[in-house]
Amino acid sequence: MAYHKVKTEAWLEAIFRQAKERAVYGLKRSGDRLVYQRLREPTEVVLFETRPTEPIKLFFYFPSETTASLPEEPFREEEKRVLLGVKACDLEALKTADFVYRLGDAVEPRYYSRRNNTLLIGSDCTRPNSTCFCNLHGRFCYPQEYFDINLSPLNKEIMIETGSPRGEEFLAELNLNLTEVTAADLKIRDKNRRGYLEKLKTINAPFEHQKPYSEIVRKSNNAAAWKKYGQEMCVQCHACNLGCPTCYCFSFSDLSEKNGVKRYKSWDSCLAASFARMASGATPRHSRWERFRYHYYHKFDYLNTALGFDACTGCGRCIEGCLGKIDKRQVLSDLEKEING
Amino acid sequence: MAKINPYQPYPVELIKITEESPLIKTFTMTAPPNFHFLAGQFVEVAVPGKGEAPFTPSSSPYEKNYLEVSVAKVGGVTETLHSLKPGAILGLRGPFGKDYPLEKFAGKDILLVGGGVGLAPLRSLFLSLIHELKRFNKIRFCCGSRTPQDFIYKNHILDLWQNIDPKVCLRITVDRCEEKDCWKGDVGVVTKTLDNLDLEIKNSVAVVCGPPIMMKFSTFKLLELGYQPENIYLSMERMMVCGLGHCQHCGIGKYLVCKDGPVFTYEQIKDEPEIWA
Repeated sequence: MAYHKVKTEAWLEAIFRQAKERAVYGLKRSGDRLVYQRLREPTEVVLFETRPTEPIKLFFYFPSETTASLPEEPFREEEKRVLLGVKACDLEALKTADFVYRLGDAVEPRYYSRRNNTLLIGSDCTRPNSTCFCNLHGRFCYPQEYFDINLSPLNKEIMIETGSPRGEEFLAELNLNLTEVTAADLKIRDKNRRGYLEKLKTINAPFEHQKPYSEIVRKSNNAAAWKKYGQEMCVQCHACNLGCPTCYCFSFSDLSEKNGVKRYKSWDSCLAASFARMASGATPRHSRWERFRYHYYHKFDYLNTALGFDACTGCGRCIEGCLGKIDKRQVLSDLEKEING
Repeated sequence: MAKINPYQPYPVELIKITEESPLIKTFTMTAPPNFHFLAGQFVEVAVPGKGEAPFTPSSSPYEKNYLEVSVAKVGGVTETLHSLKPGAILGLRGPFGKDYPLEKFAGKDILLVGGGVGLAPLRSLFLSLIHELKRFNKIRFCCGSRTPQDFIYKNHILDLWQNIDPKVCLRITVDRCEEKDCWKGDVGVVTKTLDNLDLEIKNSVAVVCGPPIMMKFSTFKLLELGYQPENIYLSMERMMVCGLGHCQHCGIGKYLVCKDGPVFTYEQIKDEPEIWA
């Protein structure tokens, strides 16, 4: 919507002022990875670099949470908060979750409240990981939409792009000494961005593909790769599901507690043998490779049909976390080779 | 905005329990205010503190004050349900999903093929059909069960519904029986009752519900008899957890049984993978 420039120190000072009034989460270094931390006082914050280890869904639907109770408890609005440094892959992932929980016939009230009360400050991904592959989806490693504010590095300054009226309001509240962005600044930003994409291209050169992933998966019903990766390599640890920012499947467990009955909604995994099992014990997907295939079908075929894009943003957490050392890029490459004969 | 919690069950009272077979009981419960379902849709019944499971009501949609579900004792939730007494409080959510499109059945011969606890949704459908019998042509209800003891709704199927109307005919069979059972119906799998149907297949629809293997072979048999895939209606069973299209447990290919089903035509799903569990 609008571009501004600000000195990095001034931006951080303003953010820490905000952190005294509401929940602000930023990125901190943990080894060679990044994790979210609640900012309470001035501390080292990573504004750019790469995506954190945790998927963004942790802020919107929790690994396990109470979702209903008997007797019924009154609904409470979620607290207002700010997420700082959200990368494009995580912002894109929210489109899938929104489709399921926010925009369908049945709205998930907690998700709805959390989304509405969370201000998203995105930032360019300047240091892609070795497992990142957003470019192979035709996506970009810098946010272009779905943010309230986005930050791009500009030497010792930050370029601020607002993406929503809410973002504009927040920026006004920060009371910063903003300066105009020049055409030369935009040129620098765009050149930087091309540089990040070049890094990604180099990382992913071995996995380049001709056909869109959705087409590859749709044509691979009987591919041998499913058995190779799904049966022989997958150890069904569910790390790909848990780390995935778009995976949203869940189960209920009802427990009797002191104050009545609580219904917990917990993340589930389509790779688990019990996932589709019915009361009679029958399941439509007996073998691990069938469940493995379903995981791909869901992301690249079924959700692609519903959303118009893959429900995979190329964040690479599934590759990073896989105990069976399965690289999703390699699976998709192999599938393409197979369908090309 | 958006403060109605779709995961919150509504408390209902269990008012009657009918023992149908050694494994299956029918539970009658009060209906929530303004509750209205259509034959084929399903509800989620919660046993407080134990869990929730999807069932298609077996009672008539025209009953406003109560609804019934027939439940086989097969797992944790259903085992507890079977141990309850009238007066117990249950949770109810729904109805969810698509019903049988009765408007498409009008003026046609209707064949119902059901087996075991799969007769439950068909009972609800059958009750809807006979409620407005003049809208439809002939009705043939083929019911199968493993043994005579396993047959559910015995009073209705073996007696009350037999002479309901000249347009209606029931065919019953059991997979096996012993001499002491004094079984008067056929013996054999339910597909055998599909031979020599006195129906005009071209102007007929078939509805199938039962265990996966029975549904598979009944569908193949119906195709053999000349039924078009778009005239074969299947009540698909999957593990519907949320009923709202959120949890993804009930996916059949690109469809979700909870939203796009549970009633599908064979035409809709025949090319999807893993349809027969």
